Amino acid sequence: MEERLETAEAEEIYSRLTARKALFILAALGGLVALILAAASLGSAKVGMGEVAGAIGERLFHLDLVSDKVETIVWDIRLPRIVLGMLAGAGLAISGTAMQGIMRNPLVSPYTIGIASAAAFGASVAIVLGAGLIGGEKYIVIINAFIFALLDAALVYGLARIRGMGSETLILAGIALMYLFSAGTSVLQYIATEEELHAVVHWLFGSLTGARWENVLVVLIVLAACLPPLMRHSWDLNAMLAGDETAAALGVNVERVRTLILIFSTLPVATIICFTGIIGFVGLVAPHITRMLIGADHRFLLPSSPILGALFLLGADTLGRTAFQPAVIPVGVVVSFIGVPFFLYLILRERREYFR
Amino acid sequence: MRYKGLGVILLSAFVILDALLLEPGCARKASSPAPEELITITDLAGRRVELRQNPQRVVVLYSQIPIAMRCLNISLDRIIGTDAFTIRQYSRLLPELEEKEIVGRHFLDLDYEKIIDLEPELVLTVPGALKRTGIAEKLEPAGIKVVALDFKIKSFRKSLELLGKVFEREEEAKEFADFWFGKLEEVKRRAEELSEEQKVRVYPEGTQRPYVTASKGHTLDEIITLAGGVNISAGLKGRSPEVDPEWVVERDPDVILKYPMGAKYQGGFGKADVGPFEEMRKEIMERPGFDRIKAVREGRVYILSRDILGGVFENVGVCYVAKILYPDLFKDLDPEAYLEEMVESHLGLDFEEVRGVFVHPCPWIGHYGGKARNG
Repeated sequence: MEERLETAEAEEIYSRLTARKALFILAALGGLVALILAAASLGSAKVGMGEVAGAIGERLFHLDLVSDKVETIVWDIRLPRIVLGMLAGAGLAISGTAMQGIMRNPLVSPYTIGIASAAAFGASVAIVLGAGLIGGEKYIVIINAFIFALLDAALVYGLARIRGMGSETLILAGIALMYLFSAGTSVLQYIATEEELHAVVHWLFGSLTGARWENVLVVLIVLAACLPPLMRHSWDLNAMLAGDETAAALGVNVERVRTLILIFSTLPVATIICFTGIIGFVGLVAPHITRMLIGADHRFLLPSSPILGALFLLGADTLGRTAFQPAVIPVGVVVSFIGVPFFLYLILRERREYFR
Repeated sequence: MRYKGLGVILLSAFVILDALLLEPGCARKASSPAPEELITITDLAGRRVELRQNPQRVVVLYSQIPIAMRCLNISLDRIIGTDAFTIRQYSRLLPELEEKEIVGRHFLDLDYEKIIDLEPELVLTVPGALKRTGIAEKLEPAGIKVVALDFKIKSFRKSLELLGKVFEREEEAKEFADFWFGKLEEVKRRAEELSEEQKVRVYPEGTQRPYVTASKGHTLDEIITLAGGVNISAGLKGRSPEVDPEWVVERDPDVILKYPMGAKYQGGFGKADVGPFEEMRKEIMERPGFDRIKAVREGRVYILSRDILGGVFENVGVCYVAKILYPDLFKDLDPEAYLEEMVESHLGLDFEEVRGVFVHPCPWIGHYGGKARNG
């Protein structure tokens, strides 16, 4: 009798906690919607909320509500940037969450296994050694960045596989490759002319200024394809937090889960950074903040962290393009400047250990 | 042979040696140099430097310097070393630089041991090098004089005069400066007659990357202003700020000018291919929302070659931009003929050999390349 009561009580506490987490997700979504509305009505062109609504109505329902110029500013410039910012934040955050999960390490981000430095190296190869096709250079850079990011992931995977996909092997192989590609980029920067150097350095700052609907579409497709498989393994990730042996004892195929998650978290990151350049920090910090707020249960963590990542990146970009308008501060820079102090504050306030 | 009487510090041994070594190298029509004559000059970094006039062993560390020397009829045989960037920049105009010793990648990244080893009398560079590298402190103890020249328009005449004084080409310096500033003044004078409403509003970009514009202090801004245009980005903070695309659409500029710094292809002397410039132009015209901009609707989007922006060819750049901005006002101005005159009578080169793409498109000329021209 007594025991049954305790179970009931535990169940009640559990469902209360679960409800709180669901509430948190809803609140974060609400915040995101509010931020989208704010971001859509802010900008160097004086196009306010009403006109934004008008422009959207005009395009969707073929009405004649605003001038062509306003419609262009809203549809072709502001909205793709906002959506790409959200998707990039979401993608980096969910990849970070998944990678921290499979590697059981709070220092891991999507870049720890060297994706960013590989992409930067690929971009530098295109910029410095590129075949001299100017107009096409834009695409050479994007394609090169993407290919090298995937190549890096494949190398890390291949190396780790030799040692049974252990989390340490993944991290160490990734870090080693990260240094290798960074060194390669440095060599290229050294042999680059002043002008090429300028282009390389500019690429290294992540920026959303070039956002187009085509880019948005590509990122959206990749994210939509990668999210469900990640979500499906949230229970496995929870089990793996207790250690590989424990997870194996609970029936998790640890090696297979690591492989799948590695693939499905690398793809979105590679896709995002080849369009935006390197945006650091979101992939590291969004998972942490989410974990501090709702705990380490991946069933909630995986869907919530992208919302926070989107909030974070969109907020940073909106600040970056409005603070000194019409000048734009690259979002990669803003993210670090506002993100780091905020993150440090959270770490100092938080007493709990991670992954509890 | 010693300069003690003038109260200078050391260095005599180098000078004697150099004078002996290089005397026959200079087979110019100029009067034979007087090796003993010491002059004191104030360079463009504001430093007083005492040096032997008409030095025979010189290291140049900036791409504009050998061009300017050539324009004053100073033999480039005197250049014994230079940096890789300077060699590359105008390789089509001055291929002889390729035979010089390389003393570094560019004026901020130098191999000082190598320079000292070459035993030059004089190193010519720009004020930025003095400020950022301490080159004078490193070389002067070895008895090498360091003199800074400045190639911004406001200092250009002074730089030419200084170069003329150092190499005993004062007359040539004056003549070239008059030629150089003459056209510039004419363009400026005619542009000043434009009323505010007549002035063309320009959105410039100064790198290959989209949306990185050029504000006050950038060469593009200077050129646009001299040509009578209004740079819509002039008031922004920072010399090359990145701007929000919607701002460009809202400001609706009349003309877009782009200098694609960082791109592999830069056009210029000896480069006749317009393909890469056309692709850059298309990239601008196809940006989201840009179809609303007047400059794009009217096709007034131009790519400029590095070779006419800044330095010794900036006067030509101003002429090209003036012609782009006000085709009617400058109907009689022919920038290419002016460039041709500069190349043929001042640089002493055959223009046909170095003809290239300097702006694209070039509406007042049908096409580029071997088109027969008067002049």
